[in-house]
Amino acid sequence: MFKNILIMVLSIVFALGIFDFFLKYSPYEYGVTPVEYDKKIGTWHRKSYENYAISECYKVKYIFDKKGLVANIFEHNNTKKDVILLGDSYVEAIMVKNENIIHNALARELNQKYNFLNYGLSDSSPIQQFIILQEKVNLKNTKYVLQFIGLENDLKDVLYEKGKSRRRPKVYIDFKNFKEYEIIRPRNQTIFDKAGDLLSEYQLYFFLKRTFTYFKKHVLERERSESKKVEKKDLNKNWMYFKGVIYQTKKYLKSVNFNIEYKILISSGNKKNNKIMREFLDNENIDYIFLEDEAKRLNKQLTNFTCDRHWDDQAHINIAKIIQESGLIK
Amino acid sequence: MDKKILLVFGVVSNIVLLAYFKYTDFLIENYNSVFDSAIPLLELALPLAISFFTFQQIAYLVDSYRDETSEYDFLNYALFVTFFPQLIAGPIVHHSEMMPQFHSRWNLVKNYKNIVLGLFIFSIGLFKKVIIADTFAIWATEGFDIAVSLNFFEAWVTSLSYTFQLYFDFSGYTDMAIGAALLFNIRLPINFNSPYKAMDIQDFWKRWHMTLSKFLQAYVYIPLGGNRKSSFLTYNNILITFLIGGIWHGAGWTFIVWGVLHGIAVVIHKLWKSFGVKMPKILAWFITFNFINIAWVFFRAKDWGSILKVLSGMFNFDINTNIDFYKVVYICIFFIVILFLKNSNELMNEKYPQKLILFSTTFLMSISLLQLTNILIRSDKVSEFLYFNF
Repeated sequence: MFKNILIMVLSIVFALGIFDFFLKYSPYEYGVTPVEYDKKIGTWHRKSYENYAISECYKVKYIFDKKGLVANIFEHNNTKKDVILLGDSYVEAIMVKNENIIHNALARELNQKYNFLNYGLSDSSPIQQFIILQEKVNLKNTKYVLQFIGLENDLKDVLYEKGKSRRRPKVYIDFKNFKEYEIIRPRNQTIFDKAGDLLSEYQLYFFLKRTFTYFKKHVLERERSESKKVEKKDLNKNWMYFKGVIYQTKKYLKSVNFNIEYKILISSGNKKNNKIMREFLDNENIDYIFLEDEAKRLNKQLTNFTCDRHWDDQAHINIAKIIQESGLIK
Repeated sequence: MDKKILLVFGVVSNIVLLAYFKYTDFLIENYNSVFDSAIPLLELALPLAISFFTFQQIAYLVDSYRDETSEYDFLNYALFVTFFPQLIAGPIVHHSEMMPQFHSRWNLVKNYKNIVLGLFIFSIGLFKKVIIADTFAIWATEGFDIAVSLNFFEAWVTSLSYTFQLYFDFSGYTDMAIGAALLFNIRLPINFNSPYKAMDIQDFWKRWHMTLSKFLQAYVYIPLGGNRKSSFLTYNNILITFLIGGIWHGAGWTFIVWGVLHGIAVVIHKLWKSFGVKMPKILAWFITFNFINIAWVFFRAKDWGSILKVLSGMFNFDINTNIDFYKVVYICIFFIVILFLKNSNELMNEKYPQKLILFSTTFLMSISLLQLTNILIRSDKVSEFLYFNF
């Protein structure tokens, strides 16, 4: 009996190993994490790294350069000024063909008038983007900073809640009020984080994570939707953090005295939020455009992939055209 | 009442029901296109497994008429028609091989040997379906349904992927049916015997969906006259049999063409045989396999445009196209599997040590369940067996 159980256990372990191999070398590949631990931000792209972003509707090669930026198809030209792009996974866009991602599309659209540098990082909010600006960007040669805001998501993500642990460490800012803040550096990498990074080299790890998410979505759906309702009710604190970080970003860019223009591009489907945002940016004298409105005005489509919510290749090309045609960059 | 009237009534009732549910829309579509009318389609839901149990019932009716049936217990008859392991996609079972098994008291006893063997065969079938067939299905779907055009390499990958998908999907289902039935001490007939090893088209039909071939031979080809009369009539009977085989698979012109192509191939093979010329084995296999592969294009494609897309790619000998080595490796591996490894029937008849069976069953079951979960979480939907549609 014991021998039979042992045979079955060995067989299951063997099946897990073979299944990992199968996932890696089949159309069911999950891909490998594109980020690594960074002491100042929490996570940052792997440097000089390339791999595939894989989903039901795309399998696209992504490339990060030696600094961990989303790769440029054009060489950096020291005689030209830089344009910095900040944003989350919509700007990082590893699922879009590299040549079509906004920064490369913009370089094409504006005949390489500037060096367009994509500092987009998935799972980042304006909080982490503010720190990226301080820690990663060389502002001396910068002419514009374009920050892409996905309003509903970013409003949710800016909040720092003490004790709320995430698997990946992240830098946070705790705002006492609109103008006073404290940077909370990412915690040190624990043994579990390191184990997670090690395991994330295996397909099985992503498979188990997806299975868990699926289970959560289908089994715990009720609790999820209830907690969402609570989130919707009280956004005052979120707005305070959000406005705080935008204000601080503007202040920081002014303080470095390089005559940098700060522009915000907003994507949002909520009229109430749009109104608050508009009033705030007008008060702060920050240049902005609402992407959906501009797209409509200029008769351009902002389409998403069929299997996830990210902008597809054509949307990236269209956003570059919108930026050019709306005169956000001169 | 006259036995013959009863037989005709029974057979016609079965065929009318099958025709009504399966072919009415096909007829309406053709009528609309010929007479430029706009009769709305009925869009009827096809009763589960109607193509399979219709054939089984017709066989029982005909054999009753011929006094070749011995078992008349209604419960056993109902079980014979609706026996769940094979109900949906075969094998098409004959009353003479099933009803005595239902009747036998020996089969009411727990048989652990059969349970172990049943689980082993079931796990092989599940593995074939979810690991092999569903992987090839992705590439077949890409080529047939998504791609706008296909180059030489892509077209061959598409057609071969479907050729492998269909075999592993359908034979996987059959293995699962055989395995599940064995848990109840019921032995189902084998339905596949390494069909892609066939050296000629007749040989292929002796190895592929064997129970359908037997049915068509016994209840269509032979009643039509078989080969008892002139060569011309024999060839005619072959063509009619394959035409019916094609229509049985689906209500569409592409299925009819697929059936006729196989009919013509069998006729050509018979003519060739009559000349007495022998062909080298490798060449015979090569011609047979490629014919089958090309004919599956008609079987799989949803419309004539897709057929043209795949076939024109296959015969556009522009070899300066990018080769996806990873798909080639898969295809090469499964060529080796289908040509050189033992099939499930052979594995079932081998005497392996129990520990090896335990290890293999656990392994195949575990990896298949992992993949089943993988398919579920990726698409939120169930992957159906191809032959559920027929």
